[in-house]
Amino acid sequence: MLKHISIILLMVSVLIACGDSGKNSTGDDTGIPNELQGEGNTEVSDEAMDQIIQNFPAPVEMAALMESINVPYSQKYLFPTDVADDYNTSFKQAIGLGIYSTDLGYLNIYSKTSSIVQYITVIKRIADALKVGQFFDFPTLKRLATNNENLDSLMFLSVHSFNQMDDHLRMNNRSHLSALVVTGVWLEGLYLASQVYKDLPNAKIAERIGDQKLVLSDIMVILKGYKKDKNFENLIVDLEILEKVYEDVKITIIPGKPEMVEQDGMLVIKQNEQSVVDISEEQIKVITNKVEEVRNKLMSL
Amino acid sequence: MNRIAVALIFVLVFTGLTSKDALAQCKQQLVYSCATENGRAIYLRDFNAKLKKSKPGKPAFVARFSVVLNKGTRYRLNLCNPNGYEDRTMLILYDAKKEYGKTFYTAEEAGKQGVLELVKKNYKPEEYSVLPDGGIMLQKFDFVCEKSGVYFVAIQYMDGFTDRKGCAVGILSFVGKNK
Repeated sequence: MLKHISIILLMVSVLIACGDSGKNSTGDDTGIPNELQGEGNTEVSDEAMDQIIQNFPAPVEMAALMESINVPYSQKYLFPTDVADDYNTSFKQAIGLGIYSTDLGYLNIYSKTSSIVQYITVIKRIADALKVGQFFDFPTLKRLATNNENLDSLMFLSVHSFNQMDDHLRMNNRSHLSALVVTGVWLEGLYLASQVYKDLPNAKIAERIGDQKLVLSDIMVILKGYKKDKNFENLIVDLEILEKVYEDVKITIIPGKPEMVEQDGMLVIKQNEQSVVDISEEQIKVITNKVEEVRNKLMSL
Repeated sequence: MNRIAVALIFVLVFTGLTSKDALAQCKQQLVYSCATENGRAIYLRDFNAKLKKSKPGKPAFVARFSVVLNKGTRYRLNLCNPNGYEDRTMLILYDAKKEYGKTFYTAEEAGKQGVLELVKKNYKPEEYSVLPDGGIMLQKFDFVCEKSGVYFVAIQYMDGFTDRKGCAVGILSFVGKNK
């Protein structure tokens, strides 16, 4: 009887193991070699890597800043959707997913529902190619955008779908793709800020561009974890030039004690401890040019 | 023998399939309502916390999340609980050095910092509750970030409510550029 039970146990174990491996298989067909797919290939621990990736700002945050300081909307800052058809590797698709998600955030913030359909169509196609399309509720998003209805829900669904896709990639041993998605989000956000600054110089935007020094250093940590891949290596080389420029951007901290105040009918915690960014016009100009170059290069690979 | 085998298969398959989900996150419906019934603030991210139960006398399990916040931005943090879990959980915002804001203040803290007066004046009755011991539970608070960097959000059970597993949802939203 024990022999039979052992056989049954073995069969069940194999079945469960097979189920897991199927769930975690990436199905990546190009661009990123097998040894980079799955975890355990990085110098930083997988847990630390996930922690760093999940820190990154939401794709809508840079656009929200622009709108809150009354920067007018302009279509020219957005990445064209017609090139997305050429993204036939998971590397390009993941970067593209990040870039287009940031652009979708921008459109949402400015309530440009007529262009939103075009961007959600592209994002859905890329998400399907990366096998995360199930988290992108295309019919609902399309209906909300087409009917110009319930824009709060449209905003929520857009950002939430992105968060879920990113979570799914990380939870299923595809952190290499998640790293590219967040890099795309960050790069497009910085592109947006630097292009807006070129047109409408503003101290708050300059400060936000300077602040990206902190995020770039985290981006470099995660990308270097996958440097064995040629595409990653090229991206790292490009971003190292940007990192070099940021070396001279100074961020200092002025200590302070948080306090609780009343503002606009809310309990508001004011931090009072401040970071002060020292960035020159020349540095912003170099950053602007380099970001534009890297973005265009990535998307025309 | 057949019965034993069937029972074994059942137990193994059942535990194999359910172990990863034994601590369930809150349903997406709660995330949606928590994120969209939040004034004019723009949803950025949710912290869907699975809360483990703790043994009596042991500290409450804490679900931790990290997030980059940007200088000059006013953020809103709010906490939602599923039905039956109201006033049982709290959310704390902190960084590597100090705590900034939270959704629960003990009677002593509330007294010292004048929280009750601030809350009574500014919050709708359904947005806060005063506990029998004088402690105050808030649904939300705003944080004006003046230092860009990595921050942490902790969600945990209040003392005395750690005897069962559950969930809670924290929402981070963008209120605007602080003037």
